[in-house]
This record gives sequence, C-alpha cells and structure tokens, in this order.
Amino acid sequence: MAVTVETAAMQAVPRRRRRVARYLPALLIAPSVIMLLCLIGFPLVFALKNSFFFWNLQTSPVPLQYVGLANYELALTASAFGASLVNTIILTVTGTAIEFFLGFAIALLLATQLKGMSVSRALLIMPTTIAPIVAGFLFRYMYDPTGGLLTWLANALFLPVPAEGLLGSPNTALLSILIADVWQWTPFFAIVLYAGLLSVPKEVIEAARLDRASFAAMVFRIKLPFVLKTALIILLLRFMQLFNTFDLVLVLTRGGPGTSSRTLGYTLYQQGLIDFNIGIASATTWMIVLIINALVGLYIFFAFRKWEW
Amino acid sequence: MASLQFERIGKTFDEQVIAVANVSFEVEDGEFVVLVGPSGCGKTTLLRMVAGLESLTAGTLRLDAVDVSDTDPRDRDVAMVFQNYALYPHMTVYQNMAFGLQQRKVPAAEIENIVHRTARTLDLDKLLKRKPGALSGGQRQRVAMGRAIVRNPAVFLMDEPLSNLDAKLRVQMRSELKLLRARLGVTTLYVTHDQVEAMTMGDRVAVMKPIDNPGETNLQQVDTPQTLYKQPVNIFVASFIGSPAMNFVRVRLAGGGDALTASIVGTPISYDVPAGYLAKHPGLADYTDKEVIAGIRPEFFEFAALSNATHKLPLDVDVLVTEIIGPDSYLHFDLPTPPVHVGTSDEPADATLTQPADTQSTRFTARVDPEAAAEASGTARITLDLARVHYFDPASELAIT
Repeated sequence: MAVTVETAAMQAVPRRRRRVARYLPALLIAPSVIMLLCLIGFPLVFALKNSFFFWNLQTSPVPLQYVGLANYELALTASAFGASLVNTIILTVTGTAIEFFLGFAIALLLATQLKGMSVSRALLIMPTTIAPIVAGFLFRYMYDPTGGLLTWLANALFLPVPAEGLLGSPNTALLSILIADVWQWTPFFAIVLYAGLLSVPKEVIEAARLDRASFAAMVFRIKLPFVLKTALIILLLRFMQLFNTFDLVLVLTRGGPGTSSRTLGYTLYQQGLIDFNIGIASATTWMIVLIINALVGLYIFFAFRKWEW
Repeated sequence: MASLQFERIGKTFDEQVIAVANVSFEVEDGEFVVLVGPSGCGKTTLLRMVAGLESLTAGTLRLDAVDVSDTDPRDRDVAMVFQNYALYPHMTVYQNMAFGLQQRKVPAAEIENIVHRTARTLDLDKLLKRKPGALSGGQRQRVAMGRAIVRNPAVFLMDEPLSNLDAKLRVQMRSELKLLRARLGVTTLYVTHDQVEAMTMGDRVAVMKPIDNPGETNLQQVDTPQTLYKQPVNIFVASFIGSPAMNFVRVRLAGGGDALTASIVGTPISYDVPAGYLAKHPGLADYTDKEVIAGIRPEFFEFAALSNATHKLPLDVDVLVTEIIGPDSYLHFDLPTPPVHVGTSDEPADATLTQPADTQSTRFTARVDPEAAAEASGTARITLDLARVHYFDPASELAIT
C-alpha cells in the first residue's frame, strides 16, 4: 500500500512540473506584453478614436462632435504637411546616411589600435550622452549670427553665410539642424560599428592581406559584411528616431523660417500643444504611424531578406 | 617556385618575451619542410614571419635570394593556410577561392577557369555555391587549401592545417596533402606539433624548442625524418621524435682503449659497449670513468625468446603494465636508477605510467611483440639491442659521436 502511494506521488510531481515548464515562457513574457499593449496599444486606439472627432482643448475638455475623415482632410491639405513630410524625409535619409558613413569611417580608425585610441573612444561617446535639447541650445549659440562659433568658422573659411544667420535663412535652416544631429549621433554609429569590427577574426584580416586585398576590398568586401547585421539594425533605429525629430527643431528654428525646417514631429507638436486641436493632431499621428510603418516594413523586407550566415 | 633562406632570424615580443632567436636554415626550391616542436617553441611565429604577418626583430629573410624581411605581406608571393582556416564566412566557396585572384586583377574568365579546375582536383566542384558555414570540417579545410592553391604562390605556408580535424579525417587529409604536394611541387613550410605528421610529410623536418635566452637558438636540428630518428643531435630531439618517447638512463663508462664497459647507475647491470659501435662513435672513449646519458628507444627492446644475436643485453624485469595496441604492445617496468629529467613534452600523458612514485627509480617503456606480451606477466626476460643505444653528454645534452 505504502509503495503505491509513493509511486503516485512521485508521478504527480513531474507532471505538475511539466505543466509549469510548458507555460513558464508565456508566464514570463506576459507582463511585458501586457505593459506594451497598455503603453502602445491604448494611446494608438485612443488617438484613432479622437482622429474622427472635432476636439479642441481650448473649447472643450471632451470630444465635441464626430466629423468622419474631416480631420485627415484638413491635416493633409494644410500647406505645412507636405512641406514637413518632405523636410522630414530629406533630414532622415541624408542624416542616417551621413551618420552611418562618417561613423563607419571613424570606427575603422578606432579599430586600428593607434596610440590614444582609448581616450578618443571615451571622448567620442560624449555628444551622444548629451540630451538633444541641450545639444540644441549648444548649437543655437554656435549658430548665432553675431558671435557664434560656427558662423565665425564659416566666415573664416569664406563660406557664404546668410545675413539673417544660418538658422534664419530658409536655405540653411534645415541643413543647420542636420549638422547638429550629425554631430550628436555620428559617435553612436562609430562606437557601435567599432564594437562590430572587433568581431572580425584577426585571421580573416590576415588571410585577406595575404590575398593582396586592396584598401577598398578590405573595407567593403571583408570588414563591412561582418558589421552588416549590426549596421542594418542601428540604421533602422536611427531612421525611426530621426523621422520623429522634434527637440532640435523646437530649440533651433521652431520649424522656420516659414516651413523651411518644419518636420512632421514639429507639426504634430504645433497641432496638439500650441493649437490644442487634438482631433487634427490625432489624425496626423496616425498618418505618421502609417508612413513610418510602411517605410520600416519595406526596409525590413529588403534588408533582412538574405540574412543567413 | 622559390627558395627560402633564414639568416639568424629572431623575434622578441614587447622587448622581453623571446619567441624566436638565431634561426638559420634554408628551404630549397620545391622542398617540403615541417617545423615541429612543443607549444611555445616559436614555430608558428616563425611561419607568420615568413608570411609577413609578424615583423622580424633580428636577422634576414630571403625569398629567392631577395631580402623580404620588411616587405608587406601583400607584396610577398606567399599563400597561407590557417589553423582555423580563416575562410571569409560571408562568401561562397567560389568567392573565397576567387577573391585573391580578383585582387590580383586576373581576368574574370581566367579566374573561373582556375577556380573550377582547382575545385575539381580538391573534389569541391559540387560545393562552390555553398558558404563555409554549410561545410564540414574536412570540406572547409579543402577550401582553405584551394584558396591557397589557386593563387599559385611561390611559397605555401601551413599552420597546423589538420589539427582541427578528427583523427580519421586527419590521416586521410594527410595522405591527400602528400599527393597534392607531389603534384604541385611548390616550396612549402608546414607547422605542426604532431610528430607523426612531421615525420610522414616532410622532406626535411626542423625540430624547434622553446627558449628564454637570446643566446640560444630554437632550431635544434633540420634533417630528413630518418636522420632525426636515427641520429638525433641532442637529448631534446631524441626525446621529442619517436612515440612512445625514448627512455633515458645514466650509465657510467669504465675501461679504455677499444673495450668500454658501461654500468647502469644504481643497478648491478653492466655490459660491454660493442666494439663496432665504439668504432663508429670514437668520441665515447673520452668519457671513460664518467657518467653519460644513454638513450634507449622502446623498440630497442625485444623478448629474449625471439633473439639469439650477440650485442644483446638480457634483462629480467618486473612488468608493471602491459598495453596492447593492435600491432604493438608496450611493457612498462622500473629499474632502480635515478631518473633523467628531459624537458620536452608539454603534455605529460599519464603521470602514473611515465613517472614512478619512488624518485630513485626510472620507468621504462619497451615496445615488443604483442603475441608474446599477452602471455608475459610478473617477471619477463627481455633483451636490449646494445648496438643501437644513443649516448649523450650529461652537461651539454649533445649526442656523443
């Protein structure tokens, strides 16, 4: 009798344990999934609902009236939308590209193990650690038309500086934002790609040297493939970040002059937090969400398609 | 096709660690030379210096009589097979093999021709579209070989190319490599720590030893495998070449003229050094009334029943362990003589087999006929072929000739 009881107990324990083991992954993931749903899902759904209502916080604390797609129509036809979409795409594409190539070049230099590289590495990461808003103010002073360092530097190099200042001219305002962003984020690419370059086996480099690899072949056919996965991911991250650029624009130009440096992020800010038009802001939010998801989807489809070795 | 000359080559890392010093020898055109030695003996460093991947801190390296000591690896016509193959993981087998040719601006049609031809000889033609990650160890090894071969270099450098393969594949690749090298006839420098590889593959073998004194040299002996085995120049080479390792024992010589008597220190065993041996090694007479170190290969022993020749020393030994390994068997026994310490092997195989607990006795290994060994237990009578014993100077460790 005692024997049967014992065997039954011994069987029961593993079975319970097995059931726990089966659901354990789901249980462990559940909190973060629920959190994500609350933090991302709820605001999105809330915004989607609001985008179909007329709701201005200056007139009412609650949505006033269902207006269908009128908010989308208004947002799209406003002259600022087209301009800010174009500005955003220019800023995002050129910014990501410049930061990547500069960063990769710096990473290659860092990986050469020359003297003083460890100090350089430590100094390099500093711009990225500064809050974007602070970096914005820093550049506002440096762009100052009378005493700014960059204005002075441009003058000294005989570069044409507009009389109204680099930030004041529609020709250079967006470029000035781009430069500030490149200054802040190139080190990020450099450090991450440098870490990637460290994963290139020494023997592979040596084999390539014995194969008489030219400088370009060494960089693009041997080293770049090793950091490609890392590069694709940080490019994606930076692309999404840059697409939502807002803080630099707010501090440097407020989207001006006119709409020459206005980004989608700034447009959104103006609609929601200056005009307090929650309906239109929600509609714009949803359009940005759709655009960036389409772009990222395309990117992932093409970039990660041949991802095997 | 090229010859290589090493002239007092040295390499010191960080101005303190001496890896290589005073290495001088020559590799003739088309010759296959194996660098062998325990780890830390500088063999890989020497190879990398030939490749140009390590700079020389002393000496001159000549490739076809041209000084290439400071030449960039890109400008030396050498190809290297790395221990871990160092294939380009993101390229297919074809691209791996073609890369070096593309960098040399060989026309595309010709590249395709060369790569396909080489792939056929290496049995890689079905794998050309695969990436290294999808290949087995032996296949990767062949791709690494192929990458070196397509370039048709003046010198091949191989850094333990077979060490990452399993035992069976290693033996197979060894013979394939031999065939390949017979067909190509390219000057080759081959590094290994495996003496069987060294002995079977090399036209000549260079035995190297770790050093810590800039006055010494790593290079102990460069000779054909048979010469290394039969006439080792010193105790290091004698103990490194041969498996199981040579037995060493102190003997005291007495007598004079053309009759020398040797007695094994600490034992009542003594014997007359054969006159024929003495005639060939006149230097031995200078050691009368002195101790020398005798080197006895395990195969110098035989079962008494199987021999009736002269110059054989009969020994009655207590067999401790008998190891029967197919065609061979090893008897282990102790003699009460103080052990001779030789610092060669960095991998003490089995401490209980190689070293008796008692510090006043020495363990011997005899390689004997397995049929008889199976019956041997307790006391066995074996004989030692006195005509083949090596003698070394105890101070300089050099062979006495």
